[in-house]
Formats: sequence, C-alpha cells, structure tokens
Amino acid sequence: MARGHGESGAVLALVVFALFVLGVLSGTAYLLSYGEQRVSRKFVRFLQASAAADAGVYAPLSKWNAELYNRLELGSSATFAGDLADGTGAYAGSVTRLGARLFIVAAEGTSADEEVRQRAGAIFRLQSLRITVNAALEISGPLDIGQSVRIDGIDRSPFAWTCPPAGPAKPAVRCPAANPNVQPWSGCDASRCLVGSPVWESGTRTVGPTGLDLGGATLADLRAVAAHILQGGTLRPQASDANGICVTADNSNWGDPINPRGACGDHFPTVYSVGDLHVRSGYGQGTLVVDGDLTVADGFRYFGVVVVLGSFKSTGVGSQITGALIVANQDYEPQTLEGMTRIRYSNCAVTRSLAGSGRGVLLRERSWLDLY
Amino acid sequence: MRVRGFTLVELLVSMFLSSIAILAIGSVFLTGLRSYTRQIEQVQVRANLRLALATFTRELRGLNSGGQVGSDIVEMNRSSLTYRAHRSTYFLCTVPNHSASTVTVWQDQQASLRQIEVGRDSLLLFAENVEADHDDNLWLAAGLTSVSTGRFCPGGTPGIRFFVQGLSDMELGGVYRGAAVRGFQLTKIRLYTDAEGRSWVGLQELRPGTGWTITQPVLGPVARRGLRFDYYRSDGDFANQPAEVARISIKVVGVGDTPAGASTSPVRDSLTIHVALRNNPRQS
Repeated sequence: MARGHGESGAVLALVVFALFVLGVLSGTAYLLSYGEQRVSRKFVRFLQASAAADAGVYAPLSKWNAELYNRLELGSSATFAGDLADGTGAYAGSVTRLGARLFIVAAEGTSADEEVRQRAGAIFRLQSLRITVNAALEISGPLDIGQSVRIDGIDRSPFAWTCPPAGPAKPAVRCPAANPNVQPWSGCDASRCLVGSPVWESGTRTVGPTGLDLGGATLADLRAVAAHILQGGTLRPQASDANGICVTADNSNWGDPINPRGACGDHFPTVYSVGDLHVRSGYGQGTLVVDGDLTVADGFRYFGVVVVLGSFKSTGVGSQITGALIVANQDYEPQTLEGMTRIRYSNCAVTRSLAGSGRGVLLRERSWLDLY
Repeated sequence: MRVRGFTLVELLVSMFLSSIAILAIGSVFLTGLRSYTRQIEQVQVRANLRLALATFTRELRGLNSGGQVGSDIVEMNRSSLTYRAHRSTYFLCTVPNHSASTVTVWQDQQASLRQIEVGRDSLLLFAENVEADHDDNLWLAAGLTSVSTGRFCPGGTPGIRFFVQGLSDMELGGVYRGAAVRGFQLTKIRLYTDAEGRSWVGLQELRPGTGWTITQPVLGPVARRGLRFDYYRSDGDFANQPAEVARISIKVVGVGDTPAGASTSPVRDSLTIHVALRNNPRQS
C-alpha cells in the first residue's frame, strides 16, 4: 500500500538546516572579505592623502612665487592648491610669513575620492641668491671711457631708500691689466673719472662649468628665479600699477626705485634676457641678466645688480646704474661708456635686489613638521 | 485501515543515512567556523600591521640623527629604540628677552601633539644668526624652567612665555621673530611580554625624577621576537652609530589572539616598513 500524502521524513528539515548553515557561513565570509576590502581601501586612501599632503608642502617650494610670498606681511598668508599628476589626490594649503625670512607651509592632502585627509607642514627660509660684488664696474676687454663718465666705488644708499649705514668702499673699476700700473682702458683718466678704494684694480672673473663665476649664484639659478624672461629687443621699462596694485606680470615693469613707498616699491624682479637688449630711458630695480649685449641710452636708471655676458655700451644722455655692473664680455668686443654715464656702487641696492629674488628653501635640518 | 510502520531495516538504513548527512553538515559547519575564526584573526593581525605602518612612519620620520645638537636617536638596537620624540612646535612672536631669559611664542600658531610641559620636555630653538647667511643657521638646545600664558604677543594677542636656561646672550642674539621652538621628549619603543606570556610593542616616556613610565601598549599581540629594527646609512650600508642613521627599517610580525593550548597555531603575518629620516641635515 502506498504511503499517504501526510507522511514525511527528516530529509527536508535536514536540507533546510544545511542550507541555513551554508548560508550563514557564506554570508559571514562575504561580510568579512567585504569588511577587509573596505579597510584596505581606506588605508590606501590614507596613504594617498599623506602623499598628497607631502606634495602640497613641496608645491610652493618647487615653484616659489617670489612676487607673492616675498612680499607677504608678517603673520599674513597666501593660499595654494593643486592636484597630483597621477590623479591619486589633491592638496591645498597656505604659506604664512612668521618672520623676516621664515615661513611655515601647511598643506592638507586629500585622497582621490576626497574621503580621507592628512596634514603636513614645514618651515621654510627665504634664501637669497648670492653674487659677490668686487667693484662698481667689473669688465674685461677693450674699453673706452668717455670724458664725462663717472664711476664711483663709494658705498651710497639710493635716494629715499631705507638702508643700513654705508659700508666700506670698493674699487670703481676691476678689469684685467697686463701692467697693474697702467690703466687698461682708453679715454678718461682714472684720477678724473673714477672714485673708489682703490680707484681701480686688476682682476677678472673666471668661467667654470656652470658659466661665469658670480661668487654663489649660477646663471641657471638666476634664470630659475627670473620673474621675466625676455627674448631681447628694445624696451623702455617703467613701473605700472592698477588701482594701487603693482602689475608684476608686465614685462616692462621692473619695479619702482624712484618711489620706494609706491605700489611697486617692493618689486625687485630678476629679469633674464636671452638675447641682445637695448634699453632706452625708463627705470627699474632688481637683478638684470643679459645673455648677449646690453646697450643703455637716454637716461636709463637702474638700481641693483646688472650682469652682462656679452658687451656693454652706454650712449646718449647719461644713464645710471646704482648697485653693481658686471660685464663678462665673452666675445671680447670693444666697449664704450659715453655721455654722462654714472655707475655707482651701492651695497644696499645690491642686497635688497638679491633679497627680492630670494626663494624659499627647507631649513638645513628639522624643517618638517607633523600637523595635528 | 491499518497503517504499516517502518521495518527494522528501513529504520536502520534511514538512521545510517541521517547520521552521514548530519556528520557531513556538522563537518562543513565546523570547518566554516574555524575558517571564520582564522579570518577574524587574519583581519586583526592585518589591522595591527597597518597600525604599525601608520604609527612608526609618523613617529620616526621627523627624527634627525645627525643634528648640530646631537642625534635624536639616543640608543638603538634590534628590539628597541630610544629617541627624542617631537611633540610640539611654536613660533616666536617677539625677539627673546635676554635679561629675563625668556622667549615668547604665539599661542594660536603652533603644531603640537600636546602642550609643552616643564620637566617633561626639552627645547630646541632656531637661531638664524646673520640673517642673510644660510650657513650659520643653528638649533640651540635649552632647558625649560617655567611657562606662563597671557597676552604677551604684539597687539595684545595670546602668547606663551617660556623661561629658558642654558643659552648665552650671544646665542639668544641670533634668534629673531618667527623662529621655531620645538619641544621634545625622550621616548622608547620596545617589545615586552604581558602576564599571559603574549608579546606586545609598547612605548615608554622618560620623566625626570621618576624615570621611565610604565609601558603603554601601542600594538599587538606580536610574535615573541616580532619587532626588529635595522638601521641604515644614506649609502645603504648598515649604520653602527646613531649619527649615521638615514633610514630605519622596522619589521613587525603580528600574531592572532589564539588562546594557549588551542589545536591550531595562531595566524602570523609580517610587514617591513622603511622610514627615511626627513629632518636629517641636508645640503644647503
């Protein structure tokens, strides 16, 4: 006789129980692996955010914005932000001026999905380029100095500038001389056109693997910090501002030495010309480097350091350079200083000009900070 | 109608089949349970290793092994490391007061894990000396005798005044506004064993007068020799002296928290971390 429909065994219950156990086990395994995966992802994000924060600290260091950071008031800040090139994170931070030469950089890095944030910081120091100045004019090659030219090695501060007391005088001219008792240029006699201590001296700058020896900074350093890189040509520089704010992006704006309390009074750009440069009148301050010949004319006034790798010529109504002029004259061409040209040594103009082109560097040790 | 029962043979066969099914299911269940437990252990061990990576990186990367005021690494060996740990950084809001031997810092401009404490921390003070010169920058070591707070900074803003000792007038003369003051505490990371015989990585701090604090667990449990430090110079060779260290390698072997006497051996996993000392002296 067949069994009735109401009869049942234990198999169904066992199968249901087995399925339940297997379900619980697989669910738990899934949850565990999912949890582990989430924690791992979170940790990867933590590492991304940490790397982004470190990159953020380096960001202002690698592209030091001298026009912005060097002019920060004590205690004031400037912000910056950027993305990592590989898309693994982003950073944002600030540069705060703590003292005359000290800054703190604080950066917050975020992971690619912006879920994790980490902070890092460092203390920076403003390091100015160093150029050793040996005389008001350092020059080599055939030179003709006109009768009305004046070259002065006595340390003097530019008019209306705030400067420390004057330092010792330098020679008016330093140039190579076959006989140290015979002036190696034609034209004006040293006793009439030159003032200095001594009036002139024999010497020349060497050229090493990094180019002309400037006593610290290399030409590459100068080019790296240049606010304006020119292709040469003719220019009439002058300060420009818009509503009282100095227009530093203007290639013709080389600062305002005439009005040091004006909008561009603290603007000391490094200008690097990669070709021959003709400057006709106008004015400027900072550091001017010409990888070619420099011709100044018609009353051009410049305060700071001028480095010319080619030859230098001054013509027309007297131009003035206050600070120092270094002419390498690598092509050994004839050079003339004519008209009422004035070249005056000024330690203050040299120091302030070089400081204006300073850039932030990490302290030599103990620069990095953990921010909490 | 009479309903037939099971025959003895049917009953025996069904009992046999049922027991096989129950054993199979039980076996799967137990295996799954063991696997679950080991996975939990594995997760814990990996979490520990991640913690080690985060902790050691943050704690050790700020060291300076070859500084002007001696190495931050005080004692180094395979199983422990004693070092000057950076705990706080402040910045001067005015130039130091030479006659009172005080330096005043901004209260709201700091990077500190905790506030500086007299008797617990030593100080390093940044001296620029000749401002235009990068080569004469120095860190000066100073003792801290007392601390007071008030509106000491320019404009009446909140400041903290540190009374320092061990610095001459000439040294303080090279310290300018904005200079950093960093607080350090002598700290030791080491392996230790608890009452149950399990090994842990712990941290101790030196308190003058009372000596080393009791060890605080940082991470664990770890294997019996589950913490190993190796020290490298910048050229990649092993460093023999603290002043030579440019990189520290830390190997952590984590173990699961399996009770003693368990049938299975505990889960083990390891991680080696390399931490470069980024506050070491650099070429200017």
